[in-house]
Order: sequence, then structure tokens, then C-alpha cells
Amino acid sequence: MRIDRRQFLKGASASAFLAGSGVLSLAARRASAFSANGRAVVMINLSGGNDYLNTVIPTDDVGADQRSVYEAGRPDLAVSLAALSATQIAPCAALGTGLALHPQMGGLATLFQEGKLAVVNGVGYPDHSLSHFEAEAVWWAGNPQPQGTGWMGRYLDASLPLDVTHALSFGGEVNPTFVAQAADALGVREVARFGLPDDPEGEFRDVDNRRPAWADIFGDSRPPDSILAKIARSGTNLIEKSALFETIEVDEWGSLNQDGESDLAFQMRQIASVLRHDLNNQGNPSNQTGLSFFHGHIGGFDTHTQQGRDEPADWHPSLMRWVSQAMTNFQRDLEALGIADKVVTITYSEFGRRIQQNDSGRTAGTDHGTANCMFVMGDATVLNGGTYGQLPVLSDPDDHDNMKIHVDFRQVYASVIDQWLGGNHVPLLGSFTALPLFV
Amino acid sequence: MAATDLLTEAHADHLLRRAAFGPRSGQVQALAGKTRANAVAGLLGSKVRKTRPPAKNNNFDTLRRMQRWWLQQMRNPKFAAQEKLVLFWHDHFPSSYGVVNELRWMSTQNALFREMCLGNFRDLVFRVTRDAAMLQYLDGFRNRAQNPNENYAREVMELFALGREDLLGVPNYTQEDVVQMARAFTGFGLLYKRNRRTDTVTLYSENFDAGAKTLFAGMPYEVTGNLGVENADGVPFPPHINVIDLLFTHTDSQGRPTAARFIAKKLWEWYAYPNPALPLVDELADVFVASGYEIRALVEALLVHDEFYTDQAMSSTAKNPVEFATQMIVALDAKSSFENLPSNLDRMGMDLFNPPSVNGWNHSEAWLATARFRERFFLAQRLAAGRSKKDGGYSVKAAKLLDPSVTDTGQIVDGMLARFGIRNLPSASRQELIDYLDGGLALSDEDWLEIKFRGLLVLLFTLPEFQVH
Repeated sequence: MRIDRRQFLKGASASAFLAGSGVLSLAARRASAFSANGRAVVMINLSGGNDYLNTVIPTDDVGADQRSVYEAGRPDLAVSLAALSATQIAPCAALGTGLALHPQMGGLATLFQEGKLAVVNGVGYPDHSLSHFEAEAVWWAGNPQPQGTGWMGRYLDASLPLDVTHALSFGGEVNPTFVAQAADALGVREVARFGLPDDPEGEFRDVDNRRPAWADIFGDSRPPDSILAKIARSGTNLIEKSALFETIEVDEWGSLNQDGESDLAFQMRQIASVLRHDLNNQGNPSNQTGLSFFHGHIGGFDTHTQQGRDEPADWHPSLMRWVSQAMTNFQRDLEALGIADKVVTITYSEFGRRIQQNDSGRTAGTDHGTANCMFVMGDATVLNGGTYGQLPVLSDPDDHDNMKIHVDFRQVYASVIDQWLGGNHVPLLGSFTALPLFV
Repeated sequence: MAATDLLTEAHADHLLRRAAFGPRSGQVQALAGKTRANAVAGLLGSKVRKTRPPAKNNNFDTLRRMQRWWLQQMRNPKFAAQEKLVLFWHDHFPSSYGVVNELRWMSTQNALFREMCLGNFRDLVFRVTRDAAMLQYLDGFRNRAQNPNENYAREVMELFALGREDLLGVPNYTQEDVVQMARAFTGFGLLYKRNRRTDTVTLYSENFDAGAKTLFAGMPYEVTGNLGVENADGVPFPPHINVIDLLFTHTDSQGRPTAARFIAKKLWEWYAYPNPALPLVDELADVFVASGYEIRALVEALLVHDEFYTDQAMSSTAKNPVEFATQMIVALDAKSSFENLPSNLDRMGMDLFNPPSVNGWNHSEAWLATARFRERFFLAQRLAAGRSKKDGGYSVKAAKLLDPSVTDTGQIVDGMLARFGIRNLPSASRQELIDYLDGGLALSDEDWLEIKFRGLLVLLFTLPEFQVH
């Protein structure tokens, strides 16, 4: 049954579904479903500052004393070489140091071997902030001096029709990545449970008269750019989307994230469900969501204490497993739907952590640091998988004993905007050298 | 003189929404005509309370009970203005039950904010620094001489007392200051009696870093010495310079007292609107400093200020979910056990005792993001439809809101707009409310009150203009 449906879907993913262009009518714009060039972007925030060094782990001292410094600084956190044999990835491109993903990231390691994962090493920005809030704001803004809009929000403003909502983030509020001057974005907890209070049989049976009143009231003119105008727009969006989203099938359609361990798995299943819904509604554009930019979120990475090494039940290992499982299952879902080559998934975290652990024994954790890694996941036909950047030389830290930065995070953003979306990153980010992440 | 100006009804309505949790029936009229100073003093009250939410157990039900208890305090007009400050301090010095995992400590912290809500800010910082919930939340219990943990040291400067940067964008401290300050905060732990852990926080000299530390190196207020935090009785042990006091010697790039500016601005934003002009901040900061950092002096100066009664202050800030809910509950005099209210608030983005981060809640139009706005529709409907307290519902006597002699639907709409403090409604929207009332049932119909009028309440509470104050 599932196979049949998947084969049907694969056959159905005709180019018409993904053909985007400067179409004129609202229906036609929705028909394009995906972004300006028919591609989708999924950002995943590993919130709290993921411990880079226990995510992408040095396995030898080739190029520099990486493994030995890692083991010396982390007697209670370092993952043994034996445990890393199954998750080995390609060596650090710049130094030749052997690298492995955390043992709980078997799924992502497999995707790496299939050419579907890029691991960008040593990512950050100059004068890296160690404050969660400053650093998150920097990543969201795509600017070390955040100016109120998000980097994706500026892309939406510049490149896509403004009368369609293209972006959705999970967690109730719009992630600042999507905050724009004009473009709208949605913040939801669950796409399929987005209806309005409705009790036609009960004592509140007048709701059918309130719906048109709401539509009229939220449509009334309010001072542009005022908070009232923004709230009214939110109301209009709610009235429209509450009806549409209820028709999205999220459960039991065969998503591999159906019974995931984490909320991230649920978010990824919802994203796959939205994409599937629009795919299934190619012939009925007014029924499509038109969403092509997504932001998922998983917290708990601020591991100051009791971080754990690689025991599956420990905290950081659990986080690693949840991320890997949710992402891998998502990629496999997209493959089954036949749209894996239209979607790229990117992880980020506001900073990495210190080289040295901060305590000993069970309570050992790591404090705020600097350099981090980013994962970029996509189909092998569109992504140049492999390792990028450089694992910072652990024996040569900066003045605060933190890892040095080798890749500016905006280089990754620039690759996404220029190569993946076919745009121009310069007006949105300033000029950066893009990495050759995409075919 | 602003303080002696007499309150108009509109100003009284505004004061009750911002300084408390909204007016109940007749309260605006009772306050109008008083001087601003008298009205503010009356609202704030002269005595603070030491009550605390019940925390007998440590489970989810207990959490919900604590939240309901606090919401009942807020809806009580006698306590509302103080509870508004308790909420501010909870937001300013956040701790979340998910991280703290000990509801007794959350309750104790809540009682601390209640006792100190109008007290001395320096004393409040000192007491928060050795508060069990905060020590757990920001890893203070793990901050020992051998393994310093920077978490609290960073946040006390960045978020609690100084700000990462001053109001001109110049950094207030360096990473080295975080390192030094973390050393000064080492050594806190819980007292053990007969081998059993108590809830009492104490300072363990063996875990305290008694070495010399240099804070704010290179600045005029640089200090070197055995910096630490004095113990509960005020006896310096073992440090000889109290690092909390040093936060209050810090001056910014303009030579102004950093903490005073920081708190004056943040309280202004809590009560009025974001990004106040620098002269206004300084005027309030001066009052704060002159009083020796007395919170009451600052709050009183703020709430009688002319700028507090401008259009901008009265209608440009999104109500947070607690404000949205309590203003409806108070205005409708809705009776309820609040059984379901905490989970409603959670879905609107404001789970009490569980702020999303050490930065507290994000106060902006993010409160009205589509999905959160949707939850407001649900609560508005539950309240407007409330006929019974049963099953955690609300009992609302709709007829009491109406003057039976008024039969014109336009007048009814206008009366409700005034009652609920709804300003700046587009005239088209007003007409749509009237059209809604006029559609279907007539005023004389038996069901009009229960169907049409309660339906109007839902529309009123979901207006964009009701979401701001």
C-alpha cells in the first residue's frame, strides 16, 4: 500500500508542480508552491549552543594534535575511537584530520556516505558573541549587528510575491530568521490543528456570522506599519489558513517520522506533510499552502552540566540521536515523495562550546564557546556532499582558549541564496565567498 | 506638575490596564478625578505581602495549582498593581520549573519577588543571587573554585543589572569580567542538616575562590580584591568586597550609572512602550539613583509622568497573554476556578514559572503571531460563552454588562468599546460590529443576549485594538 502510494507520488511529481515563475494570478502563484525557482529551504535551529566537538569528532592527530588535545581536555566527555568506527566521515578537507560524527548520528553518517550531507567545519563570525541571545540574533539576522530583519525575511521581501505566505516556523511565534519588512510568515505549533473555535451545534451557534465579520474587520485599513496593521494581518492569515490547514494530512500517510522520539521528528513530519499536500494538490492551486521556507527548532543544547559522552540515554547523545533520526527520516520521506532534489535542510546553532570540559565525572559539561559546524542535507544530484571548512586547531585556540573561526556563517547563507535559490546574496548579506555546496 | 494632575476617565482606564490587570466595573469612574500621585499610591498600596503559591508536591498538578493561585492574586484589585510587578520581576529574573525541577524553590522565588516587588533593587539582586531556584537555573550550585561556571555571572551583567551594551551601543563589560565575576560567585550550596539536604542556601568556604579578582579592568571603577557575595546575615564571609555593590558603581560610556539607566528603561518598556527617548530614561534613572535604588520611587515617578499619558503610551504595546486574559476576566467579573487558564496561557506563549529563556518572554508583536493569536480566540470564546464555573469554566453574567434602557445597537457597541478600553478602532470595523449585532436576531428576541451579545463579546476581544494597550 505504501509502496503504491509512493510510486504514485513519484510519478506525480511532474515538473509542473515545481515550475515557478513570475506568474500573475494568486492561484497561479500558489500553483508554483515552492520558492521562486521551485526549491524549498528547511532551517533547523539547535538552540542553546551545540557542542561541536562532540558532534564532529576528531579521530586522529593528522595535520595537528587534534585527537590528543580533544581527549586531554575532555576526560569525561571524549568519545572513544572504538565507538566512532561506524560514523566515520571524510577527513577535514583542510588539515586531513580524521573526523567522525557522534555515534548516535548513524543516520546522518549514512547520508554522508551517499553524498547527501555536507559538513561545514569551523563556522562562526569575527568577535564571536558568547551570549545566547546576541549570538542567536546574529545568526537569525545574518549580521553581527542585527538590524531588525532576518536573512530569510530579506530574501522573501526581495524575491517572492508578497501576497502569499511562503514561510512557516514551529513553536508559536515567527522565528526571527523570517522577520521581514513586508513578507508574512506563520508561526504554528501544529499545522493540522489550526482551526478557529467552532461549535455550530452548541450555544455558540452564531459563529457562522462571526466568520465574515472577522474577515471584514481584519481587512479594514489601519495605519501602515503600525502594530495594529500587523495584528490585523495576523488575523486575516488566521482566518484563511485555519480553513486550509485543517485539510493537511499529517498522520499515518507513511512518514518515517510518524513515531519519532522527539518534537523535532514531529516538526519534520509536518513539513513533509505540507510539501506532500501541495504535491497532491497540483491540480487545485487554491488548495495549496504555497509554503516553501520552514524553520524547525530543537532546544536543550546548553549543556553546562551532565552532558554525557555516548551512552544513548545521556543528554547530549540523545540530542544527537534525535537530530539525526528526524533529519534522516525527513530525507527518506522526501525521496519517497520524489521531491528530495527540491528541498535542502540546514542546521545551525548559535555557538559551539569550550574545548575543555568544565567539571569532572557525571556532572561534566561544557561552557559557551565559539566555532561550530553546520549540516547541509540534500539530494546527491543537487548537493556537493563532503566536508568543508576546517576543524579549528585545538592546540592553537584564540586568546580566550576558544576555537578559531574558519568559515563565516554568511558564506553558507550566500551559497543557499546564490546557488540553491538562484538569487544574489550581496544586497541581503554583504559580499561573501560562497562555498561550492550546490551542484 | 504631573503628579498633581487629575486623572481623566481615559487616563484612569490606562493606568489600571498598565499598572494593574485592568479595570473592573466602576473602577475607572472611582479613580477619575483623583490626582495621579494619589491614584498611583493607592494602587500600589503601602504594604507588601509575603504570601506564596502552594507547593506541597513536585509534580505537574502542583505547578498548575501554583499558576492558578497566582492568577487569582492578579485578578484581585487590592493586589493587582503589586502582582504586576511580581510578574515583571519573574520576567526580569527568570527561572523555569523545567530546569529548576523543584517547585518549592519556584514558590520561594515567587514569594521573594512579592516581598521585594517595591523594595530596594540592590537588595533584590543580592537576594536573587543566592536564591535556590536561580542558583539551580543558572548553574550557580555548580560554580565552584575548582570549576567555575560562568552562566550566572554573564547573565547578571547582560540581562539583570547592566545590559550587554549601554544605551549608546558600547559594551558594558568584557569576557574577562565574566570570568572574574564567576569566580566571585563561587561556593554557593544547600545546607545539610543531619545528612539531609535542606532548602537553605549557604556559602561553602572550601568551594569559594578567595583569591584576588579584578573586575572591570581598565575602567575608572576597576576593583581588585577578594570579591565575593556577602552571606545571608550581611556578615562579610569570606570575601571582603561585595561584588553586587560593584554592579552599582558601574558607569556607562557617558559616565552615567549603568544599572539605573538599564532598569529605568526596562520598567518603562514594561509599563509604557519600547525604546523610550534617552532624556526620559535619564530623568527616571536620576530618581532611581537619588532614592538609593528604591523600586517604589522609580515606579511612582514613571506612572505619574506626563509621557505615560500620551497616545503612544496608551495604545502601542501588545498585551502579553496574562494581561489579555486578566483584563477580560476582571472586566467581565468572570468567576472561575481557572482550571484551564494556565494551559490556555501556555498555548498563547506564556506559561507562568516557565519563561522560555533567561531573557524572559519576548515582548513584542510576536505575542500576536498567527498561532498565538488563534489561542486568544479560544479564550475569548470560552469567557464570552461562560455561563457556569463547572468543569473549569467561567461564570459571566452578560446582562450585568448592559444598560437595559439602551436599545440602539450603535450605542451598545460604543458602550462596550469604552468599557473594554478599545481605542482607535477603524470606523468600518465599528460598523461591522453593529452589522453583526443587527444580523439575525432582534434585540427583543429571547435569545439575543445569550447568542448575539455574547457573540459580540468574542468579536470585541479578538479585535486588533483590544490586543494593545
